[in-house]
Amino acid sequence: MNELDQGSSLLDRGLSRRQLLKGAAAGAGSLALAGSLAEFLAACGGNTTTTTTSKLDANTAGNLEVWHYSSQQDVKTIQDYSALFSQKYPKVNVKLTYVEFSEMPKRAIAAAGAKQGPDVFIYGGNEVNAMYKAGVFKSADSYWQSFADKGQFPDGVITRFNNKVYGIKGYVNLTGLWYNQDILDAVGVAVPKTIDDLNNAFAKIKAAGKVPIALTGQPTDQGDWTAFPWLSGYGFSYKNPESSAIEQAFALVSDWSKKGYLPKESVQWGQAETFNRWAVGDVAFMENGNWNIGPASRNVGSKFKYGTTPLPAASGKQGIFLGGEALWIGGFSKVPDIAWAYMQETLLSKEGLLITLKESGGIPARHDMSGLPDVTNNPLLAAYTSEVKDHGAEYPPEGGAAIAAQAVIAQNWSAVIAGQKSPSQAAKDASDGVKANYKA
Amino acid sequence: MTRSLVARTGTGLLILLYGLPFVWLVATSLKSDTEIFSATGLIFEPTIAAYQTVVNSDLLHACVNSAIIAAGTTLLTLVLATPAAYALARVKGLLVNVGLGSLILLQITPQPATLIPLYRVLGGWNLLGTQLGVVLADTALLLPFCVLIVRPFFLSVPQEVEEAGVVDGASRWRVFWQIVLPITLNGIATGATIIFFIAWGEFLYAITFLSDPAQYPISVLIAGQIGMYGIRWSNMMAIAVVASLPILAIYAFTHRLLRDGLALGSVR
Amino acid sequence: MGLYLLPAALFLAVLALYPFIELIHMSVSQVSSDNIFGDWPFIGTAGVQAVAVTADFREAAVNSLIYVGLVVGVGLGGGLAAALVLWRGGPLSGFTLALMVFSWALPGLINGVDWRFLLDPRGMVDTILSVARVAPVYWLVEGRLPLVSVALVNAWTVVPFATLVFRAALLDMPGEVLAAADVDGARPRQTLRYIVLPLLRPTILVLTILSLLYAFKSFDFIYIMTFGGPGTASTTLPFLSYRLAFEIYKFSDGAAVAVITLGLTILMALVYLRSVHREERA
Repeated sequence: MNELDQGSSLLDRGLSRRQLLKGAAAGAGSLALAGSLAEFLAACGGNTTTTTTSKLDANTAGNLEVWHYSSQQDVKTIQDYSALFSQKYPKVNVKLTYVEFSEMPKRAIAAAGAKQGPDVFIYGGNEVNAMYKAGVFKSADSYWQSFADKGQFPDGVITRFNNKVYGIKGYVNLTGLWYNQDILDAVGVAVPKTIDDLNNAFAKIKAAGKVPIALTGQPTDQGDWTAFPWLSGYGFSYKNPESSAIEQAFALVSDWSKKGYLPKESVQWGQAETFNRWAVGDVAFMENGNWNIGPASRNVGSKFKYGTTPLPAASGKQGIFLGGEALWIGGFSKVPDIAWAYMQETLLSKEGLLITLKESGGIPARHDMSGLPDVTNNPLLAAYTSEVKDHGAEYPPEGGAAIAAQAVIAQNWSAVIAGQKSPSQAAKDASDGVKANYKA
Repeated sequence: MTRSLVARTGTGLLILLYGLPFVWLVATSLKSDTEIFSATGLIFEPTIAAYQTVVNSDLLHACVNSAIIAAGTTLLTLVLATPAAYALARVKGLLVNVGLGSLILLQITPQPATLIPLYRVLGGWNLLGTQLGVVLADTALLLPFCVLIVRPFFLSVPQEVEEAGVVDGASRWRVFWQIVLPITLNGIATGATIIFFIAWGEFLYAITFLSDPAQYPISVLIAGQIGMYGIRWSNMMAIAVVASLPILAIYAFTHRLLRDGLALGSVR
Repeated sequence: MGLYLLPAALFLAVLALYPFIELIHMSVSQVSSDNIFGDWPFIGTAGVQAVAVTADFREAAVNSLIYVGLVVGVGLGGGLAAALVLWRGGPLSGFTLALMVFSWALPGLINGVDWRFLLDPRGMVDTILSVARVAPVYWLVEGRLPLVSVALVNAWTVVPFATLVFRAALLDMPGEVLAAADVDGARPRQTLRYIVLPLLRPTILVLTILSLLYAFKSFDFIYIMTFGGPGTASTTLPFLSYRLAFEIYKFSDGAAVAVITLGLTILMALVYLRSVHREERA
């Protein structure tokens, strides 16, 4: 088994979660409700049936409703790739409906209860299992099996329920290390490859009066997302929560915080604030995602030179959560053929993925796009693409069954950075907490 | 008589303690995102960029939604709370103790704990995703509080006033409506103002029970800024300033009322 | 009179009492996201007992006591001090009082967001301290400070209300007492202690109960300013309840914590009332 396959099998049940990428603590209440309502309706909901493909052409007419949660700048991306579909099927009227991220599952399930809903979902949250149970989605399996390009997609971006294909992610998002080239040049350090490099660089940066690193230390799901690459680098996994592994990672960040390398107020920051802090220009590094490529060009521009590099890791076991949005056929769509055609023309096509790549920095999952100049020539993206196949990890971990354990990790991560707990105490608490809350 | 140093210093301290945070709030809303993190203090180049970003038709629409929800809640709460408060001020004995006791108990139930049962009730009435549903939930939240605020005003109405009315042959209802209510108007206005303010800021019910962003009140926009996309401080502060303006406007007219009315229940 | 009570009673029965009973019901059942809308197996007080012995609960209970103590103590102490300074009126006092009550009238959401920023190392408080050459204090990060800071911000919103109530009580006093209560008076400390405070006893009693009930259920400032962190350093009982139910879907654990909190609140209020009674009889 090569490394790509290993990464993919990890991703097998990988349900991405955009909420984590862009962060949401506030929606927690409604999210929980959505989940519970889903369970309720799951009891009433029946199984969906698959539909056979028929031929569509430029004269095919109809209406297609698409639900998404992209607001503001991101919605342009959806409009742009939807235009690809409209070019080929000009007589199909596409309606894009915005539904707030945390409301999406609740609303989809409520609609399914009334046997309604859109034809296509663009959704990457972690509630998909509950939504599936409520009959929100229709299986795309028969379409998928006869899809000529199906071999282009790694297994890890495909969501299956009951061995049938339902959701397909065209692109992925993950975290890496951003650096301010001007600061590195000024203090004379090279881009770090190892944790030792990083520590040496931090010492020099600190001595020069700059802030070495910004990252997210919130006791929320965003903190867990940020902590996982470091923890897993020392051998941590939710199946195997060794306290010695956790302690090594915690000792690392605790040291950074104590020496003033990492501002303590980072326990307050989400990923967007981490970016804002770094963009000021006096912070050398930040741990953040590829989705910042667009914001960086807008907010940093030519204020300082910057670049990205993979997060240094203690070992090859490092895992980095993979997020992104999947496409799903609505469970009560009357035009599933057209819905599939939409999927095929947009986020499953090279052209559509080029649009998301250019506009939001989403990394195309298609094998035949990994060598494209747009991917390989973008130095900011290179640090991420290499990591997808080498270190990409399923998100949410353990198919979403470890939610409570993830909260424990996030809390201890935050406590260590703040100096509330010693690394050994936090590691013990984290290890015990994960064991108590998640049984593999 | 001149005021002593103690009183002057104390007043000055209070003005700083309660004034500066607002000055800082407004100042922050006039900074750029990077300036918020880099510049310190009140010396900076003001920009209205944040206002240009956040003040648009959506925000004004959200203000209208807030006004609808807050006004609806205030109206419904008053209609229900006023007669109840009157009754609890007139009846004596066990019923009052039980009534007041359960009001306090409901008052201290944590709001998040009510989300799931309310979701069921509103769902059963087909009111999920409607502003009426939020109004009902907010009213349930604030009704006990309103009764507790308004009741002392009825208590302070002398019994003789009512007895005089009854002697004249007026029905109990007419006495309440034509004699008691007009005298207690201040109390009712006090209750109304407070209920309106709290309903204006309520976001947990609104974010849970509404599903169409076109129906969101401004409080949900603020809460959404904290969560979904991480905090953009300048935008957040600009929205907060805009959301405070209606409260400031109402407060300008009602602050004397609040000053005298709020204390009544606790003193008497 | 029953007719006057009926509409409110019916309304509350469906939309407030029913949720309350469901909360109790949930706390004696086993409920997770799997069965939230299905059958709830009855487990009696086992759930409450199990939750009460966890380290998380103990920490949250201690945090809650500190939090409530600060909100009540600082809220009432500050309110009394402000009332003594402001009760005599005058344009500046009127303005100050209006300013204070406006902070009380603003939604907690806005106050919480504002203070979260003011307490940042680059925010207002540390900027002012830096003028006095004090090194930045990590108000929302270090040690017990996050809990204390959030409690103080919460107390900041309680002070105006307490000021109003104390002010009204002072104005209700007879003239000679008022003169004695004047901070400009000859021996303010003694008159305060031996004349004013005893007369304010009933007011203090009511305010203590009110702010105690309020502080025990306070949740939004913590939610907005620290999300219970760093780690769990500022997690109080209401926030723990929220986190259990809505972050990790252990609904019955969350309900159990909420019910214990309610019980504790009532208990504390009763203990306080009783001690006051005993003192009065003595």
